[in-house]
Amino acid sequence: MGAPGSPTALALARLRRSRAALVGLTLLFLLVAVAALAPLLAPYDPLAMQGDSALLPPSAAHLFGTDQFGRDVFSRTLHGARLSLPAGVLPVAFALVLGVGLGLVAGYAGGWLRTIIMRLTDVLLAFPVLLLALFIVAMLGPDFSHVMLGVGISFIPNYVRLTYGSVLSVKEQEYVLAARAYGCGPARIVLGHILPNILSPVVVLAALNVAWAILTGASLSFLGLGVQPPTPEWGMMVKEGRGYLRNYWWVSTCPGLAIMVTVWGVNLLGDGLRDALDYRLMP
Amino acid sequence: MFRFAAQRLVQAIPVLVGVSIAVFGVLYLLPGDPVSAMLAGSGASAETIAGLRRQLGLDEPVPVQYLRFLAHALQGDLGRSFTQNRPVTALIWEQFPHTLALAAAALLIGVTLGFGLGIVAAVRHKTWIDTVSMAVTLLGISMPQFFLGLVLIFIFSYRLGWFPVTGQGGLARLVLPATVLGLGSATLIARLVRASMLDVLRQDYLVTARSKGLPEKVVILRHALRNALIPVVTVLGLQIGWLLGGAVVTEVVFARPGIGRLLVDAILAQDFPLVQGTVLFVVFIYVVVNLFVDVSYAIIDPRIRYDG
Repeated sequence: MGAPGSPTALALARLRRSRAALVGLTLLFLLVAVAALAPLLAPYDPLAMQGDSALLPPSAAHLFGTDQFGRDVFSRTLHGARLSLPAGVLPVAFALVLGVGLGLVAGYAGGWLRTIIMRLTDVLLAFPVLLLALFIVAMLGPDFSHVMLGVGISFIPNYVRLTYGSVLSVKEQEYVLAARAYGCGPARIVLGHILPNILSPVVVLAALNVAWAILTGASLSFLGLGVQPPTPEWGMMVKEGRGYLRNYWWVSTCPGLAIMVTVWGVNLLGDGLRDALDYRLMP
Repeated sequence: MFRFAAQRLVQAIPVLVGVSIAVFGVLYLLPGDPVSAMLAGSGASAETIAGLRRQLGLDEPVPVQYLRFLAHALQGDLGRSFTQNRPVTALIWEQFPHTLALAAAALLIGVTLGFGLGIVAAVRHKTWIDTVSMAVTLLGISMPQFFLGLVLIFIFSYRLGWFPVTGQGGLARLVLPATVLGLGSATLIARLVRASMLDVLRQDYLVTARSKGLPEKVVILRHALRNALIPVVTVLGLQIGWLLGGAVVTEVVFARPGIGRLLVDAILAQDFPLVQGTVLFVVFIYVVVNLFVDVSYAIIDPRIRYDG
C-alpha cells in the first residue's frame, strides 16, 4: 500500500517500528484466531451444564474453573471472543460509513443540507456517552443486535464532526480547486480528492472507538440489556459470576480479564496508529 | 463576555428541543404504538388498551401530543412512572443527590490523580516514569468499569474487610464506587494533560521563563500548566458526560441508589415514561454543564474572542 516515500508508506513504516502497536496487533491476531477456532479449541461445550461439577476452582481439567451451572468457564470465554470482536468492529464500521458520508455531504455541499446534518449531530452529541446507546436499547428492547445498533448510532456524531471540519479545511486547497477546474464532478472531487486526504484522523478515531464499542457492548450486557443467557458473552458472564464473587472469584474474573486484554490490544494498536499518523492531541 | 454566554445559551435551546423531540419521538418510530409496547405480554383487554390510550392522550395527533409533553416538561412534569405509580420528577429528585455525590467524589479523584500523573509523565518525558504511567493509564482505559468494581469489592470488601460492599450513606460506602468511576476519568485526564503539557513545554515562552532564571517548579506550575490547562478544560465537559454515563454502571455494580440505577431498573421494567424522563433530565444536566465549561473556557483563554 502506498508508493515508497508516500505518506501512507511513511506511516506504515512508523507503525512497524512501534513495539506497542505490534504487541496490540499480535494480540488481536490471536483473538481473531481464537474466535475462529473456538469450537476446536474449547475442551467442553460452552452450554453444557453439569450440576455435579458446579463452581469447581481452576484445575487441569477446568483451566478457569466452572460456573454455578457446572459449565466450563474457559470454553465459555473462548466462545465469548466470537461475540466481542464483532461487537467492537460492526458498530464502528456502521458509524464510520454513515458519519463520514454525512460529514462529506455537509462539508462539501453546504447550504440547507449542512444545516440539517449539523443540527442533528448537535442533538446526538448532547447525549452523554453510553446514555444514547442505553436509551436506544431501552426503546428497542434488550438484544445484542440492538446494542450494536445503539453503540453505532452513538458514535456517528464524532465522525460527522471530524469529517466536516476536515473537509472545510481542505476544500479550498489548490489540489481541490485544480480538480474542479479540470472539470471533475462533485462525486469525483469528494471521493477521489478530498476523502483520501482527510482519512487519517478518521482511522485513528475508528481504532480508538473499537475499544469503546467493546467496552460499551460488554457494559450493556453486564446491565442485562445485551446478550441474553445462556449465550457465552464476556459482559454477561461477569454479571452471572457476580453473585458468587466472594467464594468463587474465577467465574467473573476470567471473562473480565478477557475483555481487558482485548480492549488493551485494540488501544495499543490505536495508540500506535495515532503516533504513526501524528495526531498527538487526540487522547 | 455576557454576550458570549448569552449566545451559547441561545444555541443550547434548539439542541434541547431536538433532544426532547428525539426522546419523545422514538416511541412512535417503534412498530405498534406505545400502549401495545407498554402492555405487551400483559394480556390486557381491548378496553384497557383503549382506556390507556385515551388517558395518555394518544388518540390525538402526534404533534399535539409532543407539544403537551414539552409544555408539561417545562413545568417540571415528566409524567408518571407505570411501575411505581409516582411522578417521574419526584423519583428523579430522590435519586439525583446520590448520583451527584458519586460524580463529585469521582471527579475529585479523577482530577487530582489525572493531573498529578499527567504532569509528572510530561515533565519526565521519555524516562521510565513516563513509560510506566502511560502503560498504567492505557490499562486503566482498557479495564471495564464493572469489572474494576468487582475486583475492588473482592479485594477491599471481601478479603480485607475495609469497606462495605453496597448501599448508600456514609463516606465509607462512597469510597469504592467513587474510586471506580474516578479512576476511569483519571486515566483519560492523565493522558490529555500529558499530551497538552508536552505541547506547551516546547513553546518559546518556556525557554524565556527558564532563561530568566525562574526555578523549575515555577516554570512548570505557573507557566506551563496554566497554558496546558486550556485544552484540558474543554474535555472536562466530556468528562462530566463520562461520569454521568459511568455512574449507571457503577451504581448497578455497587447496588447504590441513584439516577443510573433508576434508569436501568426502568428499562428492565419497560417503564417508558420513567426512561424518557430520566434520559431527558440527564441530557439537560449535561448540556447545562457543557455550557458552563464553554464559558469558563473563554475566561481562561484570552485568545478566544467573545464576540465571534
